[in-house]
Amino acid sequence: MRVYLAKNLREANQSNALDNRKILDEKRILLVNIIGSPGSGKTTLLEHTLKIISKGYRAAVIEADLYTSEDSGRLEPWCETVLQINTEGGCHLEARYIGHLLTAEAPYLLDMDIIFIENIGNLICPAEFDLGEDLRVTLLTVTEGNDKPRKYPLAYQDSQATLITKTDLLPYCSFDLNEALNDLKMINTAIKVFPLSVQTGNGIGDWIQWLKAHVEAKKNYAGN
Amino acid sequence: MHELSIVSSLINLITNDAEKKKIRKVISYRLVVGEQSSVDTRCLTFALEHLTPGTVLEGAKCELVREKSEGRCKICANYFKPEPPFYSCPKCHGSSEFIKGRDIYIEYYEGE
Repeated sequence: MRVYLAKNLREANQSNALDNRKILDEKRILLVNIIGSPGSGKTTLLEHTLKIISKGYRAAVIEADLYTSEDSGRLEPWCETVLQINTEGGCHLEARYIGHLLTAEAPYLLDMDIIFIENIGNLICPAEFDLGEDLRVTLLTVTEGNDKPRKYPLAYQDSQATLITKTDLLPYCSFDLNEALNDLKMINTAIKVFPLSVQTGNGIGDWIQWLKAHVEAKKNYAGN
Repeated sequence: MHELSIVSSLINLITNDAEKKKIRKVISYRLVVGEQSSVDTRCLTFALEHLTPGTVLEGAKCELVREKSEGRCKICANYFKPEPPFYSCPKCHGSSEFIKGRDIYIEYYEGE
């Protein structure tokens, strides 16, 4: 007996992501999924972002790491709550982990205005799993070289923004900023690009302004 | 590594469907793997070998078929085959969206 299914094997995750999106849309909470290589500055970016964003909004972080909880400790002083997920070797987060936090383990997340997810440091697997986010923000750091969008295009193709981090190191690295900008636009014409440095503060204002506009838009979201 | 969760989804999907149809043993099945699905077929085969024993899929023959990519330009709506690294439109260089080739799915299974 032959049974035709024609079922996508990522459908289970997609369905869970849709559930997360429904819950967050109803509560008008902005979910931001931060993706980037190990060492691209995800935690440092969040520290600096939270310091500013928490002044006007209730913010939380879902922090994913393979084993440690060091990053949670760094972020705790700057937001209402940090929830640690240890994947114990797992290379990405799945939507059901986030759904479990929202509906069972940490329902107080639904009182927030904005929730950040710091995904596992990896440019391949996290790009394949929708978590129900409103914004996917992928980092590209000056020290890793401007060829990363070309090498990992799918991570950048589905992102709403790319932050080019550690721009204070541009004079010391062979990072071609123009080439990076051109490559990113070729992969994703609509992508917003924010070159920035948390050390000098350059570019942080534009990123925060863009983020705040999205928090406000979500607060005023009227539904479908 | 994410091939493990894909194989877990496959096992759940076929197990649930086979139970409903009173199928006790799966003989073969066909998986369609998109060219740009970010699925490594060697990792997939490894995960299948290690996760299917003891399930309805134990010993079943897996046929893997590659699906070619198809895309549409977001700017000029041209249909074309998106090629890495940019996947951009050969006509206007606009960025594309995938219509085919990004997914992995089960087409059918045969059981008794």
